[in-house]
Amino acid sequence: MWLEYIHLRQFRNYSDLQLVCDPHKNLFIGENAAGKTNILESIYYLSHGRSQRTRLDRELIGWEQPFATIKLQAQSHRHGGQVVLEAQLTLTPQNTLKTVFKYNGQPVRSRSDVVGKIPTVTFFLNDLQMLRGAPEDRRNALDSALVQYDPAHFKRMSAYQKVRQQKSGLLKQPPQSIDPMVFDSLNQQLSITGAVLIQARLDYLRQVHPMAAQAYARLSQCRDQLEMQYVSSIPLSDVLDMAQIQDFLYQAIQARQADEYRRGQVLVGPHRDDVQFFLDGKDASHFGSQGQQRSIVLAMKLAEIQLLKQQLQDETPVLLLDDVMAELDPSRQQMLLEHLDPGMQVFLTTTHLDNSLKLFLEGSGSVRVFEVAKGTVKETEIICKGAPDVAIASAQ
Amino acid sequence: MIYTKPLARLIEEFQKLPGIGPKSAQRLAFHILKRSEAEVQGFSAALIDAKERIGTCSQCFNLSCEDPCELCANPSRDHMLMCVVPEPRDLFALERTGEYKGIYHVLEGLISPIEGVGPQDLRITELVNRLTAPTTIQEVILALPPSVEGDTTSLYLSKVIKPTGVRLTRIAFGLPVGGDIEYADALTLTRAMSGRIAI
Repeated sequence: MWLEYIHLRQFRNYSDLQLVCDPHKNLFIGENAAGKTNILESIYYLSHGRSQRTRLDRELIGWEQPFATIKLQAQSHRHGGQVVLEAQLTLTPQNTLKTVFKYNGQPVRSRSDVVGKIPTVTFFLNDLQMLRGAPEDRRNALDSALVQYDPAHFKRMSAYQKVRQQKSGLLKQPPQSIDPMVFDSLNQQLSITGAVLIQARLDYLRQVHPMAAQAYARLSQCRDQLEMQYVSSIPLSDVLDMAQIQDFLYQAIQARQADEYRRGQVLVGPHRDDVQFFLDGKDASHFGSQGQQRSIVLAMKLAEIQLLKQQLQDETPVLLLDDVMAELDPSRQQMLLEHLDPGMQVFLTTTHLDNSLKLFLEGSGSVRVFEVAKGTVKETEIICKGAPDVAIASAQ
Repeated sequence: MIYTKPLARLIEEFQKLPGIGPKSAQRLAFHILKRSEAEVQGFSAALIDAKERIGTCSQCFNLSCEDPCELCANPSRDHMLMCVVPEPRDLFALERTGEYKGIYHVLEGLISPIEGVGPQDLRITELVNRLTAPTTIQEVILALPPSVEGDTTSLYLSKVIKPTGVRLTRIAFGLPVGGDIEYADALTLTRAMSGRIAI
């Protein structure tokens, strides 16, 4: 799978951007706040059905503009040729947001119908802090990877989310006016939709774990065994079936009922779960060095690519690297770049070209380098001597 | 404002209607002006007449000029079978099938804590009263949508109806008739699978 063309209108700081992409390497170079990440965000948005940076789609629309559109055109063997995805975000006169998604020119019923059509693996700056961050960061990373592996996960999440919203609406009321039977009905639904979510996450971790452990062993060149564990409000074992998860979850929710009434929050469920990483049995978020933690994240990303490739019948996902290269030390940079599939399309952003990046660009495969400044993107030929067939196309 | 006052007011009134934006409101208003005075009189009389005469049935809460409504008063309907629907328009949809011969109960909404709608805002007490008073009803069919609100209301109703001992069922969910399996979304297919029946 590779993106051949991107067209953004009134999206963030781009009034009209048309980009012809390279099938291999696309580098966006520019100052901070020039708009490099916005380009990756547009790809992420159509790949995931949401932005990685905001929950409010209206923030994607350019300042004081009434609409924004994103159009991506890709080539895929799996889809037998061209795939075109589009999103149109419009502010109505009533100041509500209308979003329309299109797949090959046809409007689709919901955004879940475009999710996963252009599979991506993302590696952003805050991913590197994942292990030290809040459980939410690790959960989001897990769910985003899972959505690409199994796009149906998007609907699982929104089904759960809808029930959770109703339950928090109920808990906002004063405790004495909460109808216990309505509360219980919502708990029943929360355990049904929540169990589906938990099981999908457990399945994914089971699959990704051996691949990540292997990648970690390669990266660290040591014998530390990488283990990961899903942390939930319910007791977990390998032999749980859906009905058992559902029962446990329902019991766990009931056990915290008094707390939930008092605090007015939904306290139990997969939206509170976490993933823990262990190196030789020791919790890596507490005892791991910064370098070890970064290697774990890197190993997870490489495993994600491997698993996704397997799922996509050997088609490679598109890799989005936002500013991470500068944060990795040269040896890890090199390891990341070495382990990348040579056929995989990569979009990377950076503020400056350093040596390992230059080496990567000069390696096999074609390159396009784009200079980004204040909402304009110009293709340049900079410092890429020796790169084969650097195509010059005007890509304003 | 470019419109003369009465026209502006008419457009404004149309715009308050559901699904009507500024453009449609303007089109409807211009259309009204083109029609004869008698026709417009008829139209406005129909609005007043409908509003004045139509109330709700005190038994099933369907919209009706009579109390009890034509459906509740009809002896040839099956008074052992009751179908629970959220709104009168759902009742009419079921009536259009011509297949269902029982009576109805309109809830006037669904439980939705976000919108501040709880069981006390719906006709649930009235429903339970109809089932606990000496009754002919032997089966209650819940015709509620497969949404979070529909599911919550169904679960809630199952808790309050089960003690009455009346048989409780919910309509099946699955593929639209004449639809293609490959075009159905995953959630619908999952529900259709779990709701499969022996043939």
